[in-house]
Amino acid sequence: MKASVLAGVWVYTVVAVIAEVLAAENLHPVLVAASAVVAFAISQAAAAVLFYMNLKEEPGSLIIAVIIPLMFLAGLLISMVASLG
Amino acid sequence: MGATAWLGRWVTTTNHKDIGLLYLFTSLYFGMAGGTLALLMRVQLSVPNNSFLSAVYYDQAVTMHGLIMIFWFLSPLAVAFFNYLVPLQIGAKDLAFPRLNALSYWFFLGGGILAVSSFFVPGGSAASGWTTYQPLSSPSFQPGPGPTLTYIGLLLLAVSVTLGSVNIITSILWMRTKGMGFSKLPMFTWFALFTTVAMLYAFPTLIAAFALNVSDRILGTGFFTSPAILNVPGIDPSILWDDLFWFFGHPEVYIVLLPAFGVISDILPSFTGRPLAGRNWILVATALVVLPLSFGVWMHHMFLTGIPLDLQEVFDASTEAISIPFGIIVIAFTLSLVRGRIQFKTPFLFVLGAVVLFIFGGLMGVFLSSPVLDRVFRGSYFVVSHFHYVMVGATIFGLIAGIYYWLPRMTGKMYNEKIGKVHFIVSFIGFNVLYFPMSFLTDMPRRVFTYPNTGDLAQVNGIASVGAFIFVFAQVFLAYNVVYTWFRGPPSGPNPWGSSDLEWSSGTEDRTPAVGSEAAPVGGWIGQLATAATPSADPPGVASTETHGGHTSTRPFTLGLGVTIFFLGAPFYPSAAGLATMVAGALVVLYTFFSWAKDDLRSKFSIPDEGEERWPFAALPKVKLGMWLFLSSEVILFGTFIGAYTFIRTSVAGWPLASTIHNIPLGTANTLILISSGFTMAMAVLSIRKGDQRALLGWLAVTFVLGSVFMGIKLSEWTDLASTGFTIASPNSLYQLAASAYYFLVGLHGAHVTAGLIVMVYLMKKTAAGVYTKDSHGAIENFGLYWAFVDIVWCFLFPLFYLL
Amino acid sequence: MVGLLLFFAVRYRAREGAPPPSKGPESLWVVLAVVVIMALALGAAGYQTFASATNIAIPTTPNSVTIKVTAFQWGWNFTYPNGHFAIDNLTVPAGRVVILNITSRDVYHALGIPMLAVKEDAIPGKVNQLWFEVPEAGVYKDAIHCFELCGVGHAFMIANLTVVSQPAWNAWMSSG
Repeated sequence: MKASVLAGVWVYTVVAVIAEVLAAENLHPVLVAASAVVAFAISQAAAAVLFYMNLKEEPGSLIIAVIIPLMFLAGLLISMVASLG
Repeated sequence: MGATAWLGRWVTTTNHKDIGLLYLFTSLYFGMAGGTLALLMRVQLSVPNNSFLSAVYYDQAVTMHGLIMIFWFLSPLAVAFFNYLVPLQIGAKDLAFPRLNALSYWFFLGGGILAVSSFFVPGGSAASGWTTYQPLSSPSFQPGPGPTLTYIGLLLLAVSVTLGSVNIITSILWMRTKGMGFSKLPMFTWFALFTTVAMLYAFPTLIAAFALNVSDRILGTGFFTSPAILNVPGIDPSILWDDLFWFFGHPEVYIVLLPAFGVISDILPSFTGRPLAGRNWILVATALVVLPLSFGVWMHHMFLTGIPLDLQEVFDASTEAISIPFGIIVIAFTLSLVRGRIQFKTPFLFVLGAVVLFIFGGLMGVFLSSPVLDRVFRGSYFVVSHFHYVMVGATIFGLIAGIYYWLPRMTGKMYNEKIGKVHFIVSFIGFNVLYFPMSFLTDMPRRVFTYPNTGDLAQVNGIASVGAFIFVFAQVFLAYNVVYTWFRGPPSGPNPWGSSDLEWSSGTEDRTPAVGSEAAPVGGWIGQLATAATPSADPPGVASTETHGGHTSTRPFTLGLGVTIFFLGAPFYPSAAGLATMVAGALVVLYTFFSWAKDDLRSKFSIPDEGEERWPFAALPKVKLGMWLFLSSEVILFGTFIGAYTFIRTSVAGWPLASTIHNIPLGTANTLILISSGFTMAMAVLSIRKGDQRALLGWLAVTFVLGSVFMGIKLSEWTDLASTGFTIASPNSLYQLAASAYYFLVGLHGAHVTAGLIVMVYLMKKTAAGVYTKDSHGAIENFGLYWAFVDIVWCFLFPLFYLL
Repeated sequence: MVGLLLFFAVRYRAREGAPPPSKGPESLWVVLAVVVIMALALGAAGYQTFASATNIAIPTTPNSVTIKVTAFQWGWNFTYPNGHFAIDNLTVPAGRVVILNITSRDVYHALGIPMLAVKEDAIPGKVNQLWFEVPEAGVYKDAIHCFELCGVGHAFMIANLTVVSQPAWNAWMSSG
């Protein structure tokens, strides 16, 4: 973890936030705008997890331990939307 | 020993054996309470058109019976065993976080007190079934403080479980003694690991669901009550509840069942004289199939709710698939009997009973997995029979086997074999008389307080009620046996079952009688009994005797007390009595926080750092592992809330656009402030890794300022929004709903930020005192993880509420 | 079937016998074999359930009769195609496919007719469907029950089913 890397991540997150705002305002239809926004949000989260939380440097077993709940969550969200029928 | 010393010992203990005993006796007590409710129900149902219990009381009884048995009896009983045995089996002196362990117990007890107190308030207790379906359990159809108390008690219990599972998982992963690799881990500990992992990921959804419910009931939000979604075609708040509840609910039943399988796997070899057959198969089947799949079958509880047929078939397939690993496990148990030398002792009888009953119950479950057959069985007594076979038959018989088996370890005495056998026979007979006839009643609905005198309903119900009394009466034998053994049983010797598991041959510090050599007020009557026992018997509970700092603490108790008092008053908000109670509780909580901090500053509590076998987490410090585990459960919590919000949002037409409500530039600026604080916190961690204390203080201060500015701007946003009418009390139901979602989620996040700010003050104080160094700054790292998490959550909330 | 097999396997158990010899391996083959058998059994059962799942789907026969059902606390409102409605009394023609469009006015209920093996949840804001066909006329008292706890009147949400002949049905329908 180096200061320059952290600063780079910070710059990226700032840019991503601004990009989100612009995407939400200028992209139509809503589904496209929403997808872009969510993609940016996920990328910010990933950057924070990898670098701020140092997941990159932690043992692989921890990475697996972190990914598992995300998969459960994905399953829940997908099925919930599907159950709307 | 005085009574106060005895009380003091139990109130301040953080020792795992003590806490295990606390859980054991408290859960047995709740089991009796739930059983009494069941007997009342069976009396009412013994004849048709009975008037022993009115519908009002019956509905409360059936609801609380389910909740109490599942949450305050079955799981805590398993947790009692986890607490007592897991450290012994892995060769650790205690669990990873002893004070957290004590806190889990007090939250469990406090939650139970809240739930039971619901009977004594106007309107009575919850009455919508343990499944708490919406909208029946919303304030529109079930008003009153009673159900709210129950649901808050449940939330408190869920927090207890989450903390406990973090504790146990960390312990098993990190605190094993030398040579205890995963291949040597006893079966019971393996199943403890499986159960707690499932708990960690399932309970956040329960918390989310009930938090939304309680929020509706106390704060007046509209998640399940808003006219914008209730009874409006195309929107199903009921389905939302079903999805959230059963996503938790299905793994929950395996959470209840797996500990019993752990007990069975562990103790079977002692009675067959041969190793467990297919040990690795059992582990692989459970870890790789049961655990993941248990999170993927829940919609079989929703076959009749109108979900698309294709989706029903997907869950039919997954449910049938999950019966395969259970088949493997049962076959393995069966094969473990072949070519053994079987001793028909009481624990073995109960194990046998558990497996047989599980086969019946599990088969019934396979029938229920079919959408077609489910249309015959759903909501009828067939279902009641099924789940009692697996939850009482398999689980309780398995756990009772554990009680008998480990009683010698806990007391140094041997139980009475004859009475044990009588207990088994009467229990087994009573159980089947009670539940077997029920399985034929596919045309009797569940949860009816009475029934007409048609067909064989009267006969079957009468038989079942008789069976209920036989089964409950049989437990008197257990009580008698346990109490008698504890006081007057013959010595059992150090290893009566000839087991090679570690809990029978623990390290020397457990073997020496701790009582008498220390000044601490440990023991009371138990301690005296223990000294009278053979030296190889383990005195239950280690005294606050370590030379390196104390092992007892009152903080968990007072925190539990304060939280319980606070929530006792919460359902009565905003009445004066309610507010006063909440304030009293909050004061106790604040006092605890300050005292805990002072304890920490003076290093008054310390535990031996241990754990030689840590693969595959060897490079990770213990608390950090715990923090990651905790955060992963928080991920599911927030994720569930976001999922619920998305569900509601995408089904409601005319949802107000963000741009019409929020000040987007201000929100954007605030977001930039918060993510910058994420950067500064990371820089803080970096600086202390380099050993630079002053830079650490500086970066912490900047983070604190940024975080506070974030909260300040948020508060001003909220005041602005309130003045434009965007509140939970808005008469426009769409605005009210949007406001409910916004204030709840953003408020929850804000609470997390505020908690972080408070902790930051404490960290800065310690930094200024020079506590953190290059090699020892765990708290900073762990807080960094927490703060980054809070940051990440906002990365999702911001677009969700401000941009879309 | 599978259950019985396992059940007997449990019954067959060694008593005082040879000293314990076993490690794992030989039992693993047995386990494997039984797993295969189980998978086949399950597969057969599964295929059956999937094949019959289409029974749930509502048929599109042109001659069907659709009746609207609104569950409420605590009774059933059956509204017929001619606009008439009846509380707690369902009348249907014999020999024709009957489709029930089920919803609720307040909380979750579930309409079940055990003698016909049909059931579906009644959810506020949603319409769920079930169908059945009764070949002959008859009067079935208390044939319909509520199968989801819906409040204190849950046990009393009982309705009668009356199956009338085709001519009687037609007469009733056209009587305005």
